Amino acid sequence: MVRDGTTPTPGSIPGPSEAALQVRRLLSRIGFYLFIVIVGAYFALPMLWLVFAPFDPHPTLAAAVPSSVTLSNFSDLLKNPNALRSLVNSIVLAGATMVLVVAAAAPAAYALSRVRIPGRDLLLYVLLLFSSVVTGTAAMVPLFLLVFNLGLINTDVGVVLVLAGGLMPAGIFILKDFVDSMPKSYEESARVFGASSFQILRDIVLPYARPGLAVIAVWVVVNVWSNFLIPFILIRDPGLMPAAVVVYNFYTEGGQADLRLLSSFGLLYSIPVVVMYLFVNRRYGFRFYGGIKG
Amino acid sequence: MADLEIRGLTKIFPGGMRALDGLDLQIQDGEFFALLGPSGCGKTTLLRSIAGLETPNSGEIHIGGRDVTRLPPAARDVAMVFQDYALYPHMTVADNIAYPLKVRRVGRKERREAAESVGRSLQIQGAMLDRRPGQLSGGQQQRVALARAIAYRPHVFLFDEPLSNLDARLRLEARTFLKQLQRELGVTTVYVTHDQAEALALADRMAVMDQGRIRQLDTPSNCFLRPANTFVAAFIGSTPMNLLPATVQEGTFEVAGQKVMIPEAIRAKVSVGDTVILGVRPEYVSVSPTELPGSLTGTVRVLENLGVDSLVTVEVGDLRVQATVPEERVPAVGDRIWLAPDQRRLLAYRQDDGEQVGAPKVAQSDAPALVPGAE
Repeated sequence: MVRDGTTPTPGSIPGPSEAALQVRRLLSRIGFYLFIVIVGAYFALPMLWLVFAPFDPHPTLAAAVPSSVTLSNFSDLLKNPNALRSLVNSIVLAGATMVLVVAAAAPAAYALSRVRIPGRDLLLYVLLLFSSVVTGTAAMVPLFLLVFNLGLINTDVGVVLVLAGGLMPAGIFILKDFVDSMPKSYEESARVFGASSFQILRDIVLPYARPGLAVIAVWVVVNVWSNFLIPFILIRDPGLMPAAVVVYNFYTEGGQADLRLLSSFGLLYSIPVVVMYLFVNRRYGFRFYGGIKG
Repeated sequence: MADLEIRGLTKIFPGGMRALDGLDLQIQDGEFFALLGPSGCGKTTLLRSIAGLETPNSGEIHIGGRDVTRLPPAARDVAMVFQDYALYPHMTVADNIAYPLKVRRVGRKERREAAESVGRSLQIQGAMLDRRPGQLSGGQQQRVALARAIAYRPHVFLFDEPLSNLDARLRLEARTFLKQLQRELGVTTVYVTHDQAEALALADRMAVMDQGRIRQLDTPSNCFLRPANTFVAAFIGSTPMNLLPATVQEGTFEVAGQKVMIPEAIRAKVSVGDTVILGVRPEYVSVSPTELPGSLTGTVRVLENLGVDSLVTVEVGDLRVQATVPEERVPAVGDRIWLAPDQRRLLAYRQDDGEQVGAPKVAQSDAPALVPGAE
């Protein structure tokens, strides 16, 4: 019998008998596993539903193995003119926002890391704090008016600008941490060898911060992909709507959620993000970045 | 190849820290020049000013007769090896070595050839060229940093403590290698170090710096044998020089109530009643178990084994005097012994400014005199 060190040996310390301890330990084990199972199921059930329901001819809200497997849900989905186009729209929006954020945040992070200006850190923290407001509900009305006055309502450009503006501060913040961790001597030696600021950025700073750039890129794509509010407010034309908004339109004539379309579309909607995650993880590997140094 | 001239160089950092104070310096073409001093003495600031990484407040820097004071680092034709080597972790060894050529837009094939040929002379070859710096040992990284500087074909090499990250044995090997390499290349070299042994071993000439000023500018052997002042005397030498307060009497110095003969060379420069600081290296103090004429006597307090020699610390009155003794003549702790300083190696410094007796007085009211032995 294996006994761990914390268990008192009978006789040395007066206490419950050996048998009672065994029972108590067994019960606590059972309780623990039960808890794990419940928590696991809570998170796993929606995933199971997403895997089974799209192939079920009559899906319900319960996650159940379908009695017969069908692809008719997908063929019906393809008949909806906005479904596939919305996925393309999402890719365009996410891609454009990602390029804009990375292209602007990288030089900004480099400059903020290297230039000493009073109140720099405060500025960054304030930006970070208020950036969630930009993409949140609080600024919904002013944002709409701003984009309306710019004449960018119902355009991808309007959505990309608002989302990029909201995501930029956090992007700069994370990237600055990467650039901060780079020894100054890297740039100085390059400068002595005659490299221009642009060459230093291209040859040394960006490659050094590459894992950081990958983190930012993935994070921006995931954020844009799942953002419902901004495109919902700013885009009127169903042909321009991204997937997150189009999902909202899958109702039956009776006004009920069309689970056949919703489930099959949900599966298609989640695949690109998973694929991207696998690709980036393979290529760069995710670690804890930002804040933790050394 | 170029000589290097610095005139009245002053650098004041924001906050008022005066890192360089009107510094003048001339370094010959092809010379191996060491800048030595304690941390914060301004030696690294001087090196970075030569590289163009710091902008001096006033003064001029000329490289090969060309005024480069206002030129960016790129236009100065200098290569710098940093203390941490500054090898780019994402590039291979070959790419690191050839990076200066990439900046100049040299083609890929020529860059590879250059990296191979420079690498070969530094024993960086074969598979090593395709590794990343992180996969190399400290000594190999140091050679890659050297190779990169050589590939740039500069007029001046600037070294910022390039050996300080190596362990002791490797540092000695690298030191010999570096000196030989500099001889072969014949490139003017400025070498910053806080290690006096490194400066003595490597340099043709050296400057000992303190508080943004040069305290002595001379050959290593002169800096060692005839330190210009108590600062240099205390800084140079692996065993610190004995610095003993003394008063001048008729024909003798009085040290801790005992008498030492005044050497012929000094006699004319001092007068009776002067207070001076006597300087003599432990290596130039002979030790005897019996009385010697004109010697100090005291009791052995500490024995330190230095390998070939032992360092003996002797209490003479209220002073402590150190001497090295060969292994077969090591006394025991508590023994009474006699110490005779070598008359040719005995130096005397003024009490007030710490300069050698007879040296011209420098009008420096703010330079505090170092008075060792008084603490």
